[in-house]
Amino acid sequence: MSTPDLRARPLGALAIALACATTCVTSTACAPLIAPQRRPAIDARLGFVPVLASQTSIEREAAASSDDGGKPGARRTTATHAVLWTGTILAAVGGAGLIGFGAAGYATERKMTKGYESEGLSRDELDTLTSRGDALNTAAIISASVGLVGALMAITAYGVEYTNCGPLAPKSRRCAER
Amino acid sequence: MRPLRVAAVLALGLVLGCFRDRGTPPAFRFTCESDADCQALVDDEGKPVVDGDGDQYVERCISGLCQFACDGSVLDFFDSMADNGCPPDKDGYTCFNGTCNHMCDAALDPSPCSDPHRCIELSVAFGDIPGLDDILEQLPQERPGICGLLCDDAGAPACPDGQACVSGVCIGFGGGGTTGGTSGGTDTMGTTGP
Repeated sequence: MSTPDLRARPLGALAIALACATTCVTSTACAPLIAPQRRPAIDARLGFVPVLASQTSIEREAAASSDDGGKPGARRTTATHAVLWTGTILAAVGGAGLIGFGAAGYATERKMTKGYESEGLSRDELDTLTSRGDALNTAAIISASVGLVGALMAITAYGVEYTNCGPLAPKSRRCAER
Repeated sequence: MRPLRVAAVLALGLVLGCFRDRGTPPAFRFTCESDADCQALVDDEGKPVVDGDGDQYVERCISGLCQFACDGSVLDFFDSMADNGCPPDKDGYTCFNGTCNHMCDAALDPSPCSDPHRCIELSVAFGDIPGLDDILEQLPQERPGICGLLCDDAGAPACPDGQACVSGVCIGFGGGGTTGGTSGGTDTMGTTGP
């Protein structure tokens, strides 16, 4: 399974901050989702201690069982990812709309100011600009709301991933050592 | 810190970027092609504003701008009790050359007056009136003026009846120099403005 690196994204960093406020689940829950490239090194170190090595075997079996398709764990992971990406898309669309509508509103205000200061303005033109500006404000507020809801969805989903040491969590978390 | 900066920039952009109607400046006049493009004066509640005779103040298209016509003299500027035909206004109308105009600051650039109006300094409009400097120093403007056109400018409206255009200013020679100025209790002293 690929592990996209979200650390470079602000949203991902926000999610990290949110997840830091939570407590990680027990090491048993974290174990099934150990990063694959880290596992051989850990096993090599633990191999000198039989008890610890046997625990690692148990963890490996648990990981194997949870990776099976169609199981509740897999469905939960898929749902989390769906929420995460839906939230990310909503946040991006909302943010783009906010910037676009906000810029259009600012341009409308500038046109009105120019009319007042130099170019002249009729009452009909003022009514048109005012109506357009109000509509753009409404659109910007709706975009901001959509973006906020999307960001909250993405942050929450990412926080769940992080807490559960999911594949989208940063590798530096060292879930295997908990 | 980066996400916080991004959020701060977005929030700042939202506040600054949105459309805000700051209201029409006092000295601004809407452009027009005919009287139909102009409106009657209403108060904040939408009720018509009427004069002492019960007639509603209605704008007319004068020199391409929606303006209130008046028949008072610019000398009414010194008489806050004079009725010059202009509607009451918190920013203070002054009847100048046949139209109701607002005070302005000739030092401002761009001019707060609507083209083709320009800010005519009161020292130019009034000439050498004794004590004028003392009065002008009390005004908030750096170079106090009044928006409008000199009556000898191209496209300027004719002076009201009983007034003559003298050095670009309509002056009434009857009634002590304030033609059309009868006591009516309307405060027309313009002391504010851009």
